Amino acid sequence: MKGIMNTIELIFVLIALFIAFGVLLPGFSYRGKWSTAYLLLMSRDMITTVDRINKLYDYSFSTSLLNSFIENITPANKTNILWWSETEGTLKTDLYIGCNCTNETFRNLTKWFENLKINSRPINLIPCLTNLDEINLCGPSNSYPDVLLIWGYKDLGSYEGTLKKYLSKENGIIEVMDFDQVSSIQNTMFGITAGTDWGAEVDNDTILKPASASNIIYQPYKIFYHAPLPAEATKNGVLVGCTKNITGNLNIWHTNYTFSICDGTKVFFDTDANGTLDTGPLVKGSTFVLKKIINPIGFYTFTLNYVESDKIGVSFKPTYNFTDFCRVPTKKKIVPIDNNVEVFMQGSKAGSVAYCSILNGTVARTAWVADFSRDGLDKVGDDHVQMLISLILWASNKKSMSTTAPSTKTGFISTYINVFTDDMFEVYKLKLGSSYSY
Amino acid sequence: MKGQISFVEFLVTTTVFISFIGYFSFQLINFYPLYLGEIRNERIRSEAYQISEILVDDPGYPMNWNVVGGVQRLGLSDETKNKTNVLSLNKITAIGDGTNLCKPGYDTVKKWLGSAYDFSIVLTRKIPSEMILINCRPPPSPLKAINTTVRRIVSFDSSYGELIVQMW
Repeated sequence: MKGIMNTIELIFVLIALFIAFGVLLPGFSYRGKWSTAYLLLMSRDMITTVDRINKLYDYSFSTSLLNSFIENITPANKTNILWWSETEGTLKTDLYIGCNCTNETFRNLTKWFENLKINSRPINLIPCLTNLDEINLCGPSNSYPDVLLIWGYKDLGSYEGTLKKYLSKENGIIEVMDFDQVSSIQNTMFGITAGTDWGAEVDNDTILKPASASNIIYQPYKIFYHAPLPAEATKNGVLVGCTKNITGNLNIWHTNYTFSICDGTKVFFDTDANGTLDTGPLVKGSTFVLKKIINPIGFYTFTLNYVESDKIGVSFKPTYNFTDFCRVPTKKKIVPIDNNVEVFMQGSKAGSVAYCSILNGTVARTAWVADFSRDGLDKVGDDHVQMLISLILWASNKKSMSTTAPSTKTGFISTYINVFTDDMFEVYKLKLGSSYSY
Repeated sequence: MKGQISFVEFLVTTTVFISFIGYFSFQLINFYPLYLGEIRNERIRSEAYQISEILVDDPGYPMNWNVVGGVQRLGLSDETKNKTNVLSLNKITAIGDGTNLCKPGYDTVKKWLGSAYDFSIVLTRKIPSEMILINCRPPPSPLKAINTTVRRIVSFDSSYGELIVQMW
């Protein structure tokens, strides 16, 4: 009996040992990182080469161009590598604006935002209507709009939860309104409160110069003074020496300044709005001076950023003064709540100050601007549109996915910082993602 | 008898010991050739990568060589641009002129690169149309399986293409 028991013990011990060996001494294996290194090398080569052929800026914002390049290098039917790309830190090509506004305002926004082009890249500002109970999703990706524009007075107190949720997704809010009452949400979300006394009448309204690039007003200031405002020419004209001649208007300081495009390359301007084209021919890159003919009279410099057959791009130069739209004695005077928010635009004269726009970067990106359409949307000039565009571009969400990332569990990202300057200094991050499909 | 182990107990301990040694030896014997193969693979991969890196990012010596006779070390990088992934069209043309795609001959190229392994180098232009510019490979010999392939994306003269180094 004893021998039998020992034999059984032996068998059990052997089984237990082999199991233990298998667990404690697993089979040797060698796992190199070649495939990972090779993938990263490919992505780095890919981005570097695109940069070397001076196409990085174009490919960063064009899915089709980038895909065509990748397809040329690694044909999809010959490789198991998946690619995707993403830009971060700069303006999206398609930018959705959720507009809580009237249908008339919506129609005007659509018209104002046409043909916007910065650094020779089209920036499509696409408005979509929304209410504030729930921010409507828009665009093909059916996601939150990149910026919310609230036009006209509304008590936002009952929408606080919705707006906070919207801001938490890296989006921004701009409100264009005058106030009879300033509610507490205006203090916390927009950093503004009611002031006491309007004081004496102020002079021109000016966008303030930021003290440094880290100041939150730096970005909208930069956009306002560098991004070309598109001005369309629609009427056929007759100019001696031009085969094709089309005229249009720039509406600045509530004054129409006529311009005339000659053969899509040269432009003539009526710089004092007296009905005579007195300056030109100007070509791309030229500067010209417009005379402000309403009080206070002044002369302001502009740059012709581009000339096309039926449109031109004009950028403002510092220091540009608007005609007064800040001081509305029948409404509340708006002031910053503390030093943590920044005044973007103000009018002043002999110690009297009126604020036109205040930016708050403490919670997210929110901006208040006085209602420059209070006298009617038809009174809104190109200068107001340029200011609104600069605020929208500043407040918008800056994260953009060019091509959809595949739903793989692992992948690698190569990051490249690119800098581009044509109209405006632009610095952004391009991320090229890669992964093996199997 | 107390203090002595029985024969069965001796048998148990001996069997346990022998099975442990046997298991361990079996694992080692199985793994050893695989491990040696992987070491060789790694060496070839690193060598192929080094050759691709020399061709892509090094101008060679002398830096401004553009005729085959003057080369002491091969490198295709454009020394006037001094940027990574930019090849010199003059240097490419010196190696492959459109009719002869490896003018110096494979042995000379191998000597310039100082590699112990056999390899092939193929440079293909992608735009405006696909075209092989350089093709250096050894004369036909008993086939050996290609061990590693390194593809590099390069630019030259506003165009781009790929440089493929295969080694065995």
